[in-house]
Amino acid sequence: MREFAARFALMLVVYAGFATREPSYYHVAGIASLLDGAFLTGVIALGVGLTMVAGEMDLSVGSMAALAGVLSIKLETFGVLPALVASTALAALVGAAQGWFIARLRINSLIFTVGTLIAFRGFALLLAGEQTVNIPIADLDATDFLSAHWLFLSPLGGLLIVVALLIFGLTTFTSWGREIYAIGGGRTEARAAGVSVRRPLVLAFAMSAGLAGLAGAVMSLQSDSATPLGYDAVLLDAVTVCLIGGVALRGGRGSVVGIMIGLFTLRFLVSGIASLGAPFWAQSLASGVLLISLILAEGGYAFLRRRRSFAGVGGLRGGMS
Amino acid sequence: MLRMQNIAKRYGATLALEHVDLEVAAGEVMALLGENGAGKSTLVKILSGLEHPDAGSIEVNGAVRAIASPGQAKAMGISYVAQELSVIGCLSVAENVLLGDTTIGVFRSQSRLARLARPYLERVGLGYIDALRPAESFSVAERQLIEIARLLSRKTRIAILDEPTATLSETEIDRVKAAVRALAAEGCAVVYVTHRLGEVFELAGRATIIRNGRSFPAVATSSVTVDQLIEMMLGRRLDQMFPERRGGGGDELLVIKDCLCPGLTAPISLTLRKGEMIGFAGQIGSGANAILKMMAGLLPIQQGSISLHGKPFTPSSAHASIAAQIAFCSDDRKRDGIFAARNLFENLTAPTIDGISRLGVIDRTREAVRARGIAQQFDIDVNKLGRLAGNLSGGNQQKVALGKWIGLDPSILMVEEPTRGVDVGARAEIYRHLRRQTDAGLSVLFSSSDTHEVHGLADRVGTFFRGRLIDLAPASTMTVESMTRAITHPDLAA
Repeated sequence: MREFAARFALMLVVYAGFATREPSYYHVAGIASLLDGAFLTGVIALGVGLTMVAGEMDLSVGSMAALAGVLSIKLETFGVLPALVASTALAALVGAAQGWFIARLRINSLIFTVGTLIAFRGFALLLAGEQTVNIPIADLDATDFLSAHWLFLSPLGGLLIVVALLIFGLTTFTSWGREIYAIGGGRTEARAAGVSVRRPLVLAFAMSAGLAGLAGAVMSLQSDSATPLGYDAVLLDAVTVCLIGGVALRGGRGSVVGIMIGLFTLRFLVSGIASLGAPFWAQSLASGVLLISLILAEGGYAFLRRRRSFAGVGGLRGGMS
Repeated sequence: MLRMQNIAKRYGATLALEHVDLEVAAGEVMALLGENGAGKSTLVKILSGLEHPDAGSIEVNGAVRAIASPGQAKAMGISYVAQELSVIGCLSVAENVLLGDTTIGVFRSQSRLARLARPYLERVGLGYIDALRPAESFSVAERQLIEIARLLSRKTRIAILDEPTATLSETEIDRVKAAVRALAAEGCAVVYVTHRLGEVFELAGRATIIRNGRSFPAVATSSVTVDQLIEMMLGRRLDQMFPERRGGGGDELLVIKDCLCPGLTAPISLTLRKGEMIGFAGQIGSGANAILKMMAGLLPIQQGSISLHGKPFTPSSAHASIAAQIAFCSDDRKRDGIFAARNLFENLTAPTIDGISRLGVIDRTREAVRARGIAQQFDIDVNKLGRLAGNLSGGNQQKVALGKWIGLDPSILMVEEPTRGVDVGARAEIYRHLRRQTDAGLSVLFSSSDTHEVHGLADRVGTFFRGRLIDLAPASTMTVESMTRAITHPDLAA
């Protein structure tokens, strides 16, 4: 838990910093809008985070969210929930296939998902006829429940919490989840120990695509429309959240707790700046500065620790080589 | 338990195994010996299901079996521990012990895993560690033991251990040996591959020797000597492991005065003469390599002064040291010693790439000429220079890692663990090359955890214990025993 202490403290500092100026930060409605605002990035970050822990990265989540969004609007005629479930399941299935190919063909996932990033966008455009798709006006009421609020909890906020708990359980208590860590921490070592590389890759990519699909479908249904060109910035936000939350790019390291801390640190910062009336460029600049200063701080901390370990005899070989 | 007969394997035109028999009984430790390239690893691969033999039969527990895949080998109770560990740093110790265990089920909590792993950890002498901590927080030796605990947890019946002690120091080796004995005591048949012949006599009841793809009938270790084993491995007498000393005694080249750097707990002073070879003996973490790293510009110098050629010198960076013609050959050959994915021409000329380039463009002719020159000096087959360094045997890789520095025309060559992972024959060759360099006026500093090597090779010997230089004296005034005492518990030495 100590590894999260500093990050958690940072999150609280960001929160407190804005809460003193922004009363909405501790009002029920304010917290509700913070939670709702965190839904899209949060759910997608949890999925992308899994692929990062596996030592890979799913770049196609933005296009997948857009594709699933368009699909869910098209399927809405069969009911809102069936549309939601069907688009999510389909996205997860495509993601599983993606993971299977990456494992089977031993392709670098960055290359593979750059391909699908472009291709899924094409599919979304094809499906939507290159224009924004809308729910029939008669059905508009059917999706209202997605915008309902009970205190600070809406279906969006609730779904984010449920997804986080599920992924937490998966990564902490199941061998399938731990295998994702194993292949990320040492691919060859895991293989030598008899861990199949295919299953964790399929699982991680199915989850990342499925969660992207879920997020895209929920957001589209909530707003009753989907544009095939949407969600093009969500990948970077999600990766930023993961990095702030301590997910290692080289794999093997990262946790749901960390990702959630990263998510809310970023949300507190961005919406705080927005609510102070700062222009959009300031939000973007602030996220970038946050990420870079956090990584610099981590590097500095590691450097200090190495310096300190030099003082002892034992650290020599282990520390240097 | 295991009987392999008449095994043959051909890769294209090369016959890797011609005719090999290997028999191991339950509860027995069988040493598998041979030079690099003799066919040991091919045999091990066949046994672990990674390769299929062209001919021959494999009997496991009395039944003839074909081992089609690593999964099948695992199902038959055959486990292979590669030289590179398969312990995953970010997972907990308990998870590592039970990694790949399919009997536990999908849902598992860390505390339950720790409980399940505990008995296995205790049996390899790791009962004291916190199984919930990540494996990376433990030493290499402890990770090696975790790996053996994994073998126990899998109810392994045939264990193949490939040089499990290659990177360990003496005291750590004892712990691994104890764990190997525990493995055998549980009725496991152990195939033990090693280059350290001392271990063979301590651990193994019998030894099977492979030479050029053919095996000799297993010999009982109680009835042979080290020299006989070496003779069987090489097919000839190794009349001399260590070359003659000519007494290096030129002018003073390097004077280190009261120097301290990370890894040392007491200041060190020494003088290195031209053409002299000083060897530092010490266990891992003893600081034996600290002066080398400091001189290479890899560790900051905290106090003291250095003079080189009579002039003050500060090794402020690796670049500064190379510019002062001090070459450093690290013990981490894979990472620091060779460019595995490049050919030997490029590897051998890498330190002097400026010397063979004009305006930043590499002159391939000059590269080839220089590489051939070095190759001839170090007995590297000139026809193999186009090969990738990563595909060479350990001994040849080490020759490349050393040889490339010669192009720099260094005045001091510093080597960490000159023969780690190098077989007996190539070892003698590397000793001869190093000695030939000092005869030509080069000064050598090396550090090693192998006391025999330091004693046999160096002109003067330094012993290290916990960051202190215990003693520095001509090798002729020391014995291997007195050195071993000095690097393990010097307080008893006096």
